[in-house]
Amino acid sequence: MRKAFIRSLTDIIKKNSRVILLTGDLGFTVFEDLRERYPKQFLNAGVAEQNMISIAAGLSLSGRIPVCYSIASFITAKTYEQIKIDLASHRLPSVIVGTGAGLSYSTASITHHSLDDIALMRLIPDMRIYSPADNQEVALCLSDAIHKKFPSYIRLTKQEEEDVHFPKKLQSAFIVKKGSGVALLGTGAGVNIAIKTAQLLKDIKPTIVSIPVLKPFDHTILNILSKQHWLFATVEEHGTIGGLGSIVSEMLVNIPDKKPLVFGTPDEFLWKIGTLETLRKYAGLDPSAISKKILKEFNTKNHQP
Amino acid sequence: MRKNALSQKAFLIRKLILDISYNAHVGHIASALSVADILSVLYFKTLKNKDRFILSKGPAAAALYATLYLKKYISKKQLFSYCMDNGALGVHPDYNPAIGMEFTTGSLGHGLPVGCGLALGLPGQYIYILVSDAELNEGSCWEAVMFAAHHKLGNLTVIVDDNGNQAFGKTKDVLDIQPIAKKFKTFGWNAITVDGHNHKELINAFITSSKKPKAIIAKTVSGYGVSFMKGSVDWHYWPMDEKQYNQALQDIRKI
Repeated sequence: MRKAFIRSLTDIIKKNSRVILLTGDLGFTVFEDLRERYPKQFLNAGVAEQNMISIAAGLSLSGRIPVCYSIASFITAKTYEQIKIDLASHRLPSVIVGTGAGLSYSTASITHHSLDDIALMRLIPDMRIYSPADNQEVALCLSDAIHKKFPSYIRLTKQEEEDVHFPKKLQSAFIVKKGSGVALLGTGAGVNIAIKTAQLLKDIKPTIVSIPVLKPFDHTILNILSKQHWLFATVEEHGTIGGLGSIVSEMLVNIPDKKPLVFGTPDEFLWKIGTLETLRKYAGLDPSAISKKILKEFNTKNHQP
Repeated sequence: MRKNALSQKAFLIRKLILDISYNAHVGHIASALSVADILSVLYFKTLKNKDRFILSKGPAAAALYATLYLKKYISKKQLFSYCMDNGALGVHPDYNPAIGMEFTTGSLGHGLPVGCGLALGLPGQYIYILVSDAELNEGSCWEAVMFAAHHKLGNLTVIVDDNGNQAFGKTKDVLDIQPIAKKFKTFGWNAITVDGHNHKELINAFITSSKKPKAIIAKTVSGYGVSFMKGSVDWHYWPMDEKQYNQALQDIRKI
């Protein structure tokens, strides 16, 4: 996703001299070209993320549009107060980009896992949160965020995601594949996991939805789906506390006879070294584990008198 | 009237700090009195139209409110609503450009990094940030100090209100930050140490031109001018009773 991000950002920077990329000393093999071509719109702030966010606030107050980039866990947790006070409380136009969200940095261990960033950013009033699923969604989210009059957070994975679709305009939620009964709601990397899960649930024919905008959450998608679905399974590479699963569960309280089923990482530090696949399996976030749990719910419901 | 216009302004700032703090029965008085002279020089001598000022040591907000009242940014009604129920002004400054409040502070260690961003984004303008000596305990300040030197932000000036007190003790006992000037110099700044209650020294420090970012280490006394508050940690917290208020008013006339 990083390459899609930098492609889109370079296009934006070319057209808008107010936009400036700030990086916390990251971007090897990704930002070199932009650094060369647009030196006045590139700033390596060093390994000082808190300062980088405050610098962004000062730049935004001066009329620039800062885009701050670092690893998701560093740019949300280490800088939480700077984002909350310096950017958000002043409603300063700015974009925070966290790369390697979820378990992307699988072998780098718990300092680099980012399984609480959605939860943290959700706590900040008026913060806009994007969690794109593929390259096209990255481009649409970035373009949307740049034009907002307040701060946004964009959550990216480090690895390349398979293209899910090619929408021309950003929607809060996209129905990727239409089914009935069971809705698989994915965000970010969770969308491709949901698609693979659906392949294991061919008899059930679940609907697959990609949700790139998590805050403000557009509840109309749930109202639309509620007509033909009873089970809402959320899939995200994020903790089960505070992410998409929490959001959907909070919303479903207001819709009778609907059941949420939350798939994310458990409430624990994942002290496990391995590939992304291995960590997902360890966390119960692989298509096989998810499909079994959904099938169980489905069968229980169908056998009720 | 005082002997000159600036010392008259400083006197009025001190008096208004006492008035509004007594009116609302709140503390943070010593911290505000500590910067009254710095603010009088800044606002009535140094700052030009497009320059920016951030009071990073938020707890001294009463001094800023008093100054902004004298500069006619805020009304008397607003000033005397300080810390009152449904008042316009709280213990710490909230962002409100319409009344000259440039940034929300209160959590220490934010003003200087934001000031670096402003200095970078507004190269033709001068940016002034007032921090406290204790605030320099915060690591974010030193990230900004490094940044400002690296980017040669000659339009950035930091004033350190070096009164030696912090919330729960003397700075030398809690987490010693001295020698402050030497630290700034080592980081690539110009550093000038002055008596923070001497207007002439402050003015000279402000007009000293510098291609590097500039730190003015203002040696101050917390609670300056009030006999029973001078240098006392307690007066970070206590509100004044009537007797103390009257004593304080008498004391500041003697400066």
